[in-house]
Amino acid sequence: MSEGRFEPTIIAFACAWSASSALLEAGKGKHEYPANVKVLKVMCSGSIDPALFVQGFENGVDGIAVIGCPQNECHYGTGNTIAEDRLAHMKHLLELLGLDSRRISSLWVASSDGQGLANALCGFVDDIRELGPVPRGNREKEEKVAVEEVKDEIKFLIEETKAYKCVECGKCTVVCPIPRFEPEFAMPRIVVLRSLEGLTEHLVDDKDIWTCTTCGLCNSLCPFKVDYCGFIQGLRIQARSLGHQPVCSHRGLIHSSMRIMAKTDLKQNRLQWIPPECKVSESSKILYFTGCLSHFDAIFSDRKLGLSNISAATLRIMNSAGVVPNVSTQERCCGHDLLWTGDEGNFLKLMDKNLSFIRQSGAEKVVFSCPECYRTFAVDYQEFEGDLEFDLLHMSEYLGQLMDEGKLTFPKRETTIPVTYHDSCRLGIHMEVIDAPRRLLEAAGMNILEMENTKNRSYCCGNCAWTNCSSTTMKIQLERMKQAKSTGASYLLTSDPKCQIHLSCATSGDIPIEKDLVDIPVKDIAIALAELLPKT
Amino acid sequence: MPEEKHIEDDCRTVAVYLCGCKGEISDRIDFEAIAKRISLLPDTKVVLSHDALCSGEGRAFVKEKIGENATSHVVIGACPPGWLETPLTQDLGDVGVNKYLVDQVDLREQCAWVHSNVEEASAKATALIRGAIQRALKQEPLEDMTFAVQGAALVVGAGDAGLIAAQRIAASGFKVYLVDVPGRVTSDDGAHDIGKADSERCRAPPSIETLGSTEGVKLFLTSEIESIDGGVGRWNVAVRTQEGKEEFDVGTILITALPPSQASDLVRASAEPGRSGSGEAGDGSTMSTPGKKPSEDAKGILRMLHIGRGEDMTVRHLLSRRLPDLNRGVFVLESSVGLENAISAIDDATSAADISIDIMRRKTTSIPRIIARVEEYRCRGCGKCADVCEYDAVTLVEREGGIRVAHIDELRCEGCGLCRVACCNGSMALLGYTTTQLLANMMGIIEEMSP
Repeated sequence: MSEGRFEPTIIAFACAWSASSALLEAGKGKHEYPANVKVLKVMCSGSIDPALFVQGFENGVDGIAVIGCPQNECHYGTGNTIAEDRLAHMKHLLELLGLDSRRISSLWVASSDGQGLANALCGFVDDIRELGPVPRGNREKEEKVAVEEVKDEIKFLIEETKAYKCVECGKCTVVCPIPRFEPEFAMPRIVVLRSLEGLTEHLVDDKDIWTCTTCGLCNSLCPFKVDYCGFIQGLRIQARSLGHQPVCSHRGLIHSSMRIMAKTDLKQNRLQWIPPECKVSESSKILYFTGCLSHFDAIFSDRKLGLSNISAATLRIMNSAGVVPNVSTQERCCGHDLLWTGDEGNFLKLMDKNLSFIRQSGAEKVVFSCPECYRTFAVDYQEFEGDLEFDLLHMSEYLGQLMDEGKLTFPKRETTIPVTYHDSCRLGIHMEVIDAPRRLLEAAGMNILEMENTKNRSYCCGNCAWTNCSSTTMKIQLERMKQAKSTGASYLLTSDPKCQIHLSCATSGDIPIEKDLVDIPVKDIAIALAELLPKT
Repeated sequence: MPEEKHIEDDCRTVAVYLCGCKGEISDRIDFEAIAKRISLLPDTKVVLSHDALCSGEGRAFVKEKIGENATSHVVIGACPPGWLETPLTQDLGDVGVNKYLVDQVDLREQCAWVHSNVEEASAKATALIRGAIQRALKQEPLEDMTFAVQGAALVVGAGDAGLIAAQRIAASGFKVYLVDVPGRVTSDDGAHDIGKADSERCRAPPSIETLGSTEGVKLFLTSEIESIDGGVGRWNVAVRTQEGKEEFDVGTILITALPPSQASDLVRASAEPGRSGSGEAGDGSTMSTPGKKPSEDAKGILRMLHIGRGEDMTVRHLLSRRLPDLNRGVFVLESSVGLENAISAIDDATSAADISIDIMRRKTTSIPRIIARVEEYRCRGCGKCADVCEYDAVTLVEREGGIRVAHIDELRCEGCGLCRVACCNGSMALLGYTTTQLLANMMGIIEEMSP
């Protein structure tokens, strides 16, 4: 390859039918194309896991082409249509991450068209050459550490989380949501006991340490204040350092996107959600940290959740109270899911990037929509960094302040709307923000019908950090939906977009119980509140 | 399903064989450089090259060398890979290497013939081989799927091709159902719609009467196919006749014509460059007809047969490229998409009839196990996989403890892999093409390109 010129690494996924035939034709006809293109055969263009795209870009691919049958001629009927649709959303995700969407290209070729394919590949390689390389960051190998070292770390962890104080009273066992559906599950208490017995090697490759939803009910009930959740979090970091990894939902696509944010300084394009009529200001002392809502919209495109409407609604409410916050393209994932899957290294990178942009912005108050971001800043960032110099508030707390100051008002309603509210574990149990959202909802004219398990005894949405989703998860979710439906409320409101994703996923497919029992729409509180603002 | 063997992680090693293809590859790719580089990889036990691996001498070479350097997996760098079954994989099978553990990289059509710069082509070849090694190492040994085959055939279309095929199959002692739509077979000597019979070679089709009175032949000449359901080896066919509906089971199916109402919809695509000519010139017969596509209705029939809707599905393609696919026992002949050449129509019909006779005589047929598999412990039982399946191959079944999981009907699954992407949980795998394997393949390439 010629000296000095950027030679991109390009992966082409080719279906086993038209694409493979066309590649053969290109070969037979000796139609040249650049050697940068490396072909991976798949059965159908629709069978390519989108996680592979993101993992490719994370690890050093500069462009990905998908080659498949011409439209309406898919060997399997609908594969290429599905692929086309999925590619559009993956392109959207690339844009959000700050990568050019032209880095993904689809080529639908006739099986005999070797020349056409070769030409298209030449064009694609030229495009990528023009775009330049995808920033790699440092591709450090995750170094495995010695078991002895891990043993010491676990000893330290026992001290730190006061795990040695456990007297096996069993209070936590009663509330843990998992054993009810998965009797063999070793809940955090059992894990703690095993670790006290020194069974380190067994601990770290135990799947139960990844199954725990870390909802924190055990923590909140422990008479000796053992931090079981913290113990699980620490143990996961140790497990990962020994090379054990959880089974990630969506084949790790979400974690991979987060690592791209952690490792690179790409100029992100994540503020498209701002409605034209809304106001934001770069000089504002109030920073609204929106979280990864738009990213989830791209990833869960098929579910049409409209999660970025949550940030739009939050902004609308703030504006209506006369607050013009700052929102930033430099915001990155808070790293919650990386930390809770044991990837401490990339978590710390995200933390540094987030804290540095917030410090530069001069913000005095940071307001969060997402309970996970809120907990991560308030607990984890402060644990690593010490007390942060700016205030951290959940959106519901902040809007409550605005209400108290008389800035935020809702029109009086003649009838109240019956709703039920799901406390996400991060907000309700971990951060103990329980009354703030309720007060807001009531002020806006909603009547909260509480579920069987609520407030600091709230039931989990079944999954955390996109790991070890299973049939147990499904059962927990359906149980929660049943509780919500049986209140008689019109809506199940929650403040956590991930709870919304999980709960709506459980009821979107074919379910083993009567649909009527769980048939209640899930909505974010910000959207519900914004709908009740005075009409302007 | 036979119990599967698992290879221990620390026993996984690879032998790499490079084929020079009589200079076609070795003149344009630097084998020495590749061998030097690939030998350094921790899992590679040996890298060997030969001038022509497909020759008798080459096959003997591999057999001998594999005896000397026993490895769990084999990667071959040669011409384009077929569908698992090649003489080489058979040889390797003879010496105990499961064919699913053999991966073949296309160094000819994808490297030697399309990149004129030797250095670039060699670098690419190295990356592809490295990717293939990493992918192969993630593969477990598998067995083919074997299905019982019904001793009866369905022939669709009573033109020259259909009549000849039906006669041939009946003569071998198998039951034949010949179906055609009303109004097409009018004269008493058959439709003869293709043109002049191949009288020179004395292969004139039998008359309808002759065929009708042949033992084992059942004619449905004023009928339409209502549904075809099932899978390899056992298809349940429902035919609507003027009297009502009739159902029967067949093991093999030959589509020689699509009903005229459907055939008349065939469109000739505009002769845009690159769309015409299949490139398989030199055989003297009419080439596959990329300009002609089956109509929407015709696609319906192809759908019922789990056959692609594209232009590829003609017997010529099956014969030339996808040998294991012949074992499926379903043949769509070129005459069904408007072939003009009577001689090749009859050639095709004869070949397809012979292959289907062979399959029925064997009573069982095997096809590669490239199908979906459910990792039950991860399955949520949400059914999203079933929603995207085009072949109704996925159902939800109840397991102990009231847990519902997805279940794959091996007979119906065509191995497209759409279900595995629909699954949010990674509990659906496509054997031979798992996401883990594809990722390993990609990472191998990346590590080679940007160390």
